[in-house]
Amino acid sequence: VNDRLDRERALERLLPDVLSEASGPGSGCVEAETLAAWSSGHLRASEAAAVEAHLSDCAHCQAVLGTFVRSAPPAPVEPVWSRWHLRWLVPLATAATALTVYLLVPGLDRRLAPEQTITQADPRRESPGVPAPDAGANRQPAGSTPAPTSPQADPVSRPAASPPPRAGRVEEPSQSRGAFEAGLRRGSPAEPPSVDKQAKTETPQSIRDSAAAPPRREVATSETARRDAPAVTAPPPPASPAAAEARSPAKSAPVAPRVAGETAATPERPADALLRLRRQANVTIDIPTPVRTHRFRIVDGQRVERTTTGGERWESVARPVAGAMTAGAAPAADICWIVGGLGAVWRTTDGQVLVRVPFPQTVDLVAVAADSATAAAVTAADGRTFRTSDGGQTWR
Amino acid sequence: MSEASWRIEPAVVDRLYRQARGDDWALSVASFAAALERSARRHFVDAAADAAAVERYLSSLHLSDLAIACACAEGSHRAWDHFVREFRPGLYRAAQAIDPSGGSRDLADSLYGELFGITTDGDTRRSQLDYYHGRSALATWLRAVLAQRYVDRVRSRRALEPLPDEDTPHAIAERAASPDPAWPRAVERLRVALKGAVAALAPRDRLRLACYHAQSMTLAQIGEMLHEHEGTVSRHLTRTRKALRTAVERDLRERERMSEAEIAECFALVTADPGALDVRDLVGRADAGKTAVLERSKD
Repeated sequence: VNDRLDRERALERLLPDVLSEASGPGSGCVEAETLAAWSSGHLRASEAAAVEAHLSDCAHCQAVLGTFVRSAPPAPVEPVWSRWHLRWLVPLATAATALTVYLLVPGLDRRLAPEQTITQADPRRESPGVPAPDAGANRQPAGSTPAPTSPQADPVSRPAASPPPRAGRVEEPSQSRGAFEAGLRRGSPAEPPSVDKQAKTETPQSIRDSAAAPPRREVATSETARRDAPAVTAPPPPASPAAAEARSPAKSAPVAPRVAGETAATPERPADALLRLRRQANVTIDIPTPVRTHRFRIVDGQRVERTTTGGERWESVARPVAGAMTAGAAPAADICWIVGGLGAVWRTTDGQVLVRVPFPQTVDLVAVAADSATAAAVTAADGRTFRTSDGGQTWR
Repeated sequence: MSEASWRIEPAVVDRLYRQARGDDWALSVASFAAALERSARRHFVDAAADAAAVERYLSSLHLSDLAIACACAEGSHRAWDHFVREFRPGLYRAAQAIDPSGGSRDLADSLYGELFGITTDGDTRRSQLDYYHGRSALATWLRAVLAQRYVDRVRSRRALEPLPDEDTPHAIAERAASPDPAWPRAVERLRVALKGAVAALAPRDRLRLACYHAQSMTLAQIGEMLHEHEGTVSRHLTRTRKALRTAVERDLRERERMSEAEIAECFALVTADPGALDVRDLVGRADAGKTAVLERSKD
């Protein structure tokens, strides 16, 4: 190696002499403007090649080139912090610090902003006889087996960046006007913003949380709510330690019904997870009806309430059997279909009492679209859709 | 010059004039159109270009600089105020960078005077800016003109310098300390072989080599000039040097019929004492503060 280097060094000592033996200035020398244009890359490829060929042979032009290069003003010194690989340090360090603080500092309540209202699909927008398609049904092929413990299949662990579904949206009361305007932008019929005055006035905490709530997101009905729930990363502080403890996911046991023989080690079912998250977040599912003043709502996934005064006063709708409720649809002012876990389907036709509708399977139901008191379509957590046109006597 | 088959449409001139903001310098559209035509005629020497190509070419020019140059050449005070404020400091900075001792300041002054215009025939004033056609930025063109003038002056001065007296004490001492008598022959053999090897290089390789070894440009400067990263320049230089060594060794073996031992001895002689053949020593261009060539290339 040394021998080769020595030989190359010997040649290098001769190179200046050899290179300077090139031709002197002649008629073909590069003009000043051409040299300037070549150096700044403003020549066509053929012109640049010709200039390069001449420069490589002409000692005079090489000398001009060398002088020209030396005459360039010194390049501005780039600050160390602005180098491309260092520019990321500040945001990365900030994000890492924020994440570390979020994970390590005790007492932070990682829950949804409370008093969220999930607005079901507006029956007035649906065309008669066509059940509202569910986002879950669109995403998952029919007949596929759900795997609740899988991160891909578990809707709770799905990323919040999924495409927005069509069936409904999650609204926060303080930002319902934004949802209304978004609906207008989509070209859908005007829907007045749903204002849950009772929810807003019942708890002072809800007012504070509403103020600190993240921007409104357009998402789907029940399944979208599940998808969005764990994506909230900046929860508001709890009102009190007791409240925080009560709302803490680790300490509040799910109340959703479990299948007989199910042990504590059994993975949480989608409907249970959805219900738990909704309870933790005090999610209220708003179910509009074709009549503007009449609405239903599911509170805490456990009870159904109805208003006939545009939300000023809410009355409980009686139901015979308890169970987790996940979604609802009201095709008329007094008619409402409710679905829940383990194949639970309820229906009220008078707005007063919920009646259990027989359903052939014990799958968790996550969405429902109803056309009338007899025609409805429910969507299971595994993406399957069941339809009835005889009030639940038969499903297909 | 043959009659061009193209002409610049007035609409194009108007568009380019607006783009160049000729109004700012009270430049007449006719003068600007004449400058555009001069530039196009100079570029399309075959006179067979189509109008679209001419328009593309004109649109690619540094139009605002061209407008300033035209306005200055016309004698617009507003344009000259701008030139003095924006371009003349750069000209002087370039002169200072070329010769930090201030030796080229007079060149910059002279060039500035020529830019303002010199009287040639009676009242006809010819500005050096008439030779600017907008193909590069005006500041870059000024630097290139200054560099050309500096090299011309150095060469003209060198031609007037007396040859060294062979009877000076320094020359006598040099002759007394002359190396091995085999050294001149070894150097000559290597030099001839090296010359052939350099001539066989690709133009860009040869230019890179010349910039580095003859003009003492840094890797960064070469990279900026050739639009290459300096690491790429370094790799190419290393490859070229290796190719040169291989070619020289092959030439010595095949043309000079030298054995490996003779080749090694030839290289050893040159390495030990390259003598006065280093042109940097001859012309005094050697930059004492600069890193050795091989060390620079290892950066």
